[in-house]
Amino acid sequence: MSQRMIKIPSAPAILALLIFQSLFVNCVCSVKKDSEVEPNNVFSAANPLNVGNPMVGFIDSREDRDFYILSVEEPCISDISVSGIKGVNHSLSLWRGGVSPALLKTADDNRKSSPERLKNLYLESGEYYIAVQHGDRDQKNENRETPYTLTCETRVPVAEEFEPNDSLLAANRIQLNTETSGFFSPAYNRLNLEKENLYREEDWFGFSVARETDDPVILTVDVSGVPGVNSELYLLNSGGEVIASSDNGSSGMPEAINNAGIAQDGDYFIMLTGKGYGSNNDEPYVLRLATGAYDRSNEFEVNDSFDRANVIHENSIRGRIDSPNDRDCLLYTPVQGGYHRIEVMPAGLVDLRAVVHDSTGNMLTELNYAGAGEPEIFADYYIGAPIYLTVFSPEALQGVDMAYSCAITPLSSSSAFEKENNNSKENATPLPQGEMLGYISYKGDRDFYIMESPRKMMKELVITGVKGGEIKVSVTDPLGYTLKSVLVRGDSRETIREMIEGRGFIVVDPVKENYDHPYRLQAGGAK
Amino acid sequence: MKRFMIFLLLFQAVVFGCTTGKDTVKEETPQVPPDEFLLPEKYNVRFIGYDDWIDLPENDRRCYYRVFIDKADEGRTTTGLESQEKYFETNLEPNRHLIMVEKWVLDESEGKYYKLNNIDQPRPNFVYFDLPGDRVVIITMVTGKDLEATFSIDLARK
Repeated sequence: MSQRMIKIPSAPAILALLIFQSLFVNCVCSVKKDSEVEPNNVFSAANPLNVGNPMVGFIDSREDRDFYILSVEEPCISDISVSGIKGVNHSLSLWRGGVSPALLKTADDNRKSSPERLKNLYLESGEYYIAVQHGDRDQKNENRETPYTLTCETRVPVAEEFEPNDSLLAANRIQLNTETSGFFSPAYNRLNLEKENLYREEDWFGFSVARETDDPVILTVDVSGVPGVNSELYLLNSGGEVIASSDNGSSGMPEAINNAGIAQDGDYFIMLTGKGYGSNNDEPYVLRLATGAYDRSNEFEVNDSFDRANVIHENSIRGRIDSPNDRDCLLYTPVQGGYHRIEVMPAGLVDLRAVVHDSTGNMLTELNYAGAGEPEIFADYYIGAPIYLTVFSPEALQGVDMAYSCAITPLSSSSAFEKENNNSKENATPLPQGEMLGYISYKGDRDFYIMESPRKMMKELVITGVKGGEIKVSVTDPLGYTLKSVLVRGDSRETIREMIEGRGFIVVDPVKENYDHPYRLQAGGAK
Repeated sequence: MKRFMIFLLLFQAVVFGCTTGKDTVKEETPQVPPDEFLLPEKYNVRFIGYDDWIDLPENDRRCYYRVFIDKADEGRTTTGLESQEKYFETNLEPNRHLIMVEKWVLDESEGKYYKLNNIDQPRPNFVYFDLPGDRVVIITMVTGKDLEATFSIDLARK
């Protein structure tokens, strides 16, 4: 048997092998970086930029501008970024190619030494120019030692925004009952030169409403929270008029427009923006647009004025206060004139208020006696004609359930009712022989009644108090000065006998309010 | 003649018999024929009270008297200024009766009447009177500056 000799390679051979392997691995594993070729200061001298291939370049003078040309074969979503350059404030711009390139988007959000990025730019087939140049935020400095790296990545779009969508005319079309993602990016839209919202970056989306019946379409629009961004959400009609808006949350919190009622077919728009030029290139938002069935028992926006008031059907309606500025106008028409119980009940710890106006807009009364989480009640309000009830909460709080329900219920009783507002002598309710029902209608409510007789005579007044409450009942002289008072606890019964000199007043003051149960006054001649 | 004189003396003694109450009470002998007296209709006792010394508005408070007859609360007079006559009327059985009054004064800042302290009440604040049948007795109480009250008792005339 012969032994095979294993020949060990020489040291130089081994070294050459190692070097070759290193080069091979390096070439295979690392991305090939292109380098800019100056001069590329104009469109016509733009360097080709390949998707996925980083481009290395320099801002090597104060006037330097580096143009790159990108060829797109298939429509795609792009993500273009340029790394920071030490001591240099630079900007990143995208131009649509052609004989006369058009500036589509610019990012100059950050100060010197910081990167810039353009997210979610929609590129159709064709050529685009990308420019890396000095920004406006700092003094122009050159840096011939530290390069920047320009990168362009693309992908197939899936249910997302297409930048630029910075105006109503450029709005992305979306469908009802869909989700769309996007980015609050860049922080500044340098092409927005509107005085009121200078440089504000806006994302616009448009959709169409075509109702199947005469009922309004109920929309809910919400956007998820994004870290570092305090977002605002707007719903607008085709004329750019804001129908509803939401700006309730703080940074990172979601926003929502609930129960927006669309009563007319046509195009509508959603606009998103970040307050204070907030942005986030990494975390997307999710915008949801959903429709709901019209429910007559629910209020729908926009109902912040009398001409847009929601009708209260069958004596009750539910609603939500979406913000401190939200006003829900509700229209109630009584079947017949009479006394009604008005109740506005919050679901959570929100402090509601309600104001009653007549059909001409005159304020009749306000309900603002209860605290947070407690119902506002007007136990016996006379309604003889249509009224508007406006519900709102100036102290609407983030994270608090803002739902409420409102009920206006006709009262029925064989007894006579006090007639609010009878909180002074001048408005005293006449107290006839027989029984009169009255309520502590609100906190501190005073009820005045007037007793009259052609001559002075003794009168007997039997008082049945308020169940669960306490009242003080006083008899006065003709001028309204108290002659005698009696405290009536709960629904106990007390009797006052007093002389009435032609006329006198009965005054009922609450000591402990209870708005659910009436008190009773039974007036008669004394025996 | 002698018998006639004796009868006249006796008659005078009956008519001018002992008086009741304090010296402040004046009781007048009706010197008119019986058919000149007012017959009771809605009331047979009427009380009138007022102050006779007030000459400045700032001293003239709105008030009324609460009336107690035979120590029972029977109601009150009408309201009026202290200088004004304030009335109380009632029907009682013929008998001897006690009428007592309490003066209540308006506190305008409070909007209600309050009873004056005992030391500020008229003195005396009571009088006994006889109520004959078919007559209307009028009791008038006039209070002077020093709170001294003078009662007079009359029968109402037509």
